[in-house]
Amino acid sequence: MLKNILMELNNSKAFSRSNIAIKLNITEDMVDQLLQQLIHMGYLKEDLGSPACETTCGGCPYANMCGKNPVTIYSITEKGLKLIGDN
Amino acid sequence: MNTIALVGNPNSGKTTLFNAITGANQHVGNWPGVTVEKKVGEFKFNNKIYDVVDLPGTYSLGAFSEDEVVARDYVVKGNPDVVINVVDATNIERNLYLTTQLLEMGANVVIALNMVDEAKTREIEINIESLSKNLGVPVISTVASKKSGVEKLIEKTVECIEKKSEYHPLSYGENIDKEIKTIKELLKDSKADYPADWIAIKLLEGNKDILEEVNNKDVEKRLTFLKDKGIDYELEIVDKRYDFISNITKKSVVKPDEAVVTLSDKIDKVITNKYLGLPIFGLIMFIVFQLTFKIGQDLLGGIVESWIETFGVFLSKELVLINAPEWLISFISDGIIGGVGAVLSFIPLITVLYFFLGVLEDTGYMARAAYIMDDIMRALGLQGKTFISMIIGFGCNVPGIMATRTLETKKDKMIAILINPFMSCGARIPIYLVFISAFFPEHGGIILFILYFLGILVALIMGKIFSNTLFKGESSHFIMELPPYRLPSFNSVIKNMWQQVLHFIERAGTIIFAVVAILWILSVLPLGVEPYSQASLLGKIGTLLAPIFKPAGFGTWQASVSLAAGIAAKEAVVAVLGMVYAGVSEGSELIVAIQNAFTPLTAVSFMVMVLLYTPCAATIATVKQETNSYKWAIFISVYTFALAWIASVLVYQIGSLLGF
Repeated sequence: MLKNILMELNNSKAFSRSNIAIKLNITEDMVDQLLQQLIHMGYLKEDLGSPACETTCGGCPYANMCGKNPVTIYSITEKGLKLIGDN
Repeated sequence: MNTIALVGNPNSGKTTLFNAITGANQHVGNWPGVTVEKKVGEFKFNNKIYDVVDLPGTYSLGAFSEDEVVARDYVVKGNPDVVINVVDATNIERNLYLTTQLLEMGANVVIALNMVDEAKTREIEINIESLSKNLGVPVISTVASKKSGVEKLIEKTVECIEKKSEYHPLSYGENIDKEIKTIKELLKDSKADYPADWIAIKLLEGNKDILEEVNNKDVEKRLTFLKDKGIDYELEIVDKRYDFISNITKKSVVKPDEAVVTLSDKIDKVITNKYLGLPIFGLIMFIVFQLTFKIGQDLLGGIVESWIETFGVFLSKELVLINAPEWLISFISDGIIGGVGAVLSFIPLITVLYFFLGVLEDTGYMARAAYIMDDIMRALGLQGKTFISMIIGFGCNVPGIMATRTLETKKDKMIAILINPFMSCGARIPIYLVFISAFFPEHGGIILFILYFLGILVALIMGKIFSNTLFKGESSHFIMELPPYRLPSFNSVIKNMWQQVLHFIERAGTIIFAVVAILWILSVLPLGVEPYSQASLLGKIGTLLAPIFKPAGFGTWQASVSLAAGIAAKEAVVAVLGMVYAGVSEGSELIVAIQNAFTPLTAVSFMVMVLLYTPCAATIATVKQETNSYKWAIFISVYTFALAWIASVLVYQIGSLLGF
């Protein structure tokens, strides 16, 4: 299942959890769980677009304008790509 | 005394259940050597006392956190008679992952299927009997918060102390099962406290913690052999656990509307369509800008302006009454009210614009917009991820540039930095609005839409040029998640809008105030000169700069000096125009003055200049900080100005030739 999700992601530019759930015949909750697992194991990387700053948001005049990115994106790590390539 | 351990995911209701079982009979300490809290309690059943240990909440029993290690070690080394696994019935797939690991350990498990009331509300039907049969352990439904099912759970738990559930090891497929046997054989003489099956699985998963504890050379040799052969069982083992969970939930759990194409997916077929996506995006943004003007300008526009006017007149009168010096009256009424007030008068429009953008964001549409944009970016050979920093740049270019830190390659990062200033930030809106109000009040939405669109277009073209010249190389692949559409939350939209407006007001009260103060001083010096005249220091600086902008149609000292002030902060352009053109308080005087000083064509040329020219000082400083180079900070200041100048000149010259 993990490999299938990774391959599904690799073949897409965008996805919705419901769509993957239908394609893989699993529940949306399971898709959510598998995505978290792939991130946890280092096959997938989640990027919310917020900068990793050295200063805390409390002291930053741009804190209110920051991290407003409405998009969650993922990239497949080298480890993940190797796994797909092997299969 | 018999001991019962309570284990479960965070937020599964484990601690509530612990309280329901033990009542007030509990005490709190720490697990040895770690800062994890240890809660122990007891209960009485059939005149016998049982100890209950509440283990830290954890999603799995690996070695990724102290909580996991404490829970794992207690289940294995603490030898509890029964492990009550608290499973959240509303999130059963996630919770059963921990259950499979407990079963792998051979623990004597009783499942407390908690929050069944909430699951029922969400129309999740769970067949308890089937779940118990497939897992091979007793399952009792509970609602810990209402103490429902707790008695039955205690009864079953005590029963299981006497009669342990039969252990059914999971199968991980032929190869792994065979390898587990091999490792178990090698571990025959091991003195480790953990069950051999579990150790073998953990070792094949690459758990270094357990490898150290086992300290067996033969096992190490075997694992090295597998590694050298490129065999990695970690993913397969985890995958098998999920197969196991998926099979069980398919047999025992029914959720509403499962495996049907959602409304979101149906809408996306149209909204993100290859051919329709971009026109729909354009139409939505056009409607947003139109509504913004209708409500923010036509309906509410005059309110703040009239307040500022009234306040300005009142303040001037009061200052005259108390015989305040003339310079102070001039500074307050012309500089502060005329300058900062001109900026603040656009609050209604800014508020309405951010309200609509917040609504779009909250519905999930902005993710689709990003997806549509991404398609175009990829077609131009740019890194699609750049759009994230571009979207943030629409609010303010400083965090937009900071967001480029998440880009992996130098090429992607540098291009994203260099094109970000073309994203029209919130500070530029008041400038457009002054000129739109003066010349195109009927077509405000269209003009604003075209300006934003032009910014994106120039950014994409420049990105493509940089990608083919200064920064060549491959960009990485990424995937975007399209969240489900939802009704926008009023609170979230208002909060977002308020934060943006507050930022706008803060800047007006700090940096714009400071810029206006400095420029006011320059506009009344040298002493004796007519204030705000060409003879003043400010006028002389403007006169010096004016020839540069003459080919673009706005070679006046006022326009030139306002653009120079805009490098300190973009809103300062309006503040300076307000101060040098309008002078005293009357907001509408600025519009009239602009109508006299510009033509519709030079107004368009000026707006194009504002959109594209040198970013503000804070943005330039951020470029220096992010690239760690003055070279790029100077480059971005110069190339954007050159580009803006060329574009403005083209607009003016072509427009003049066409007779506008």
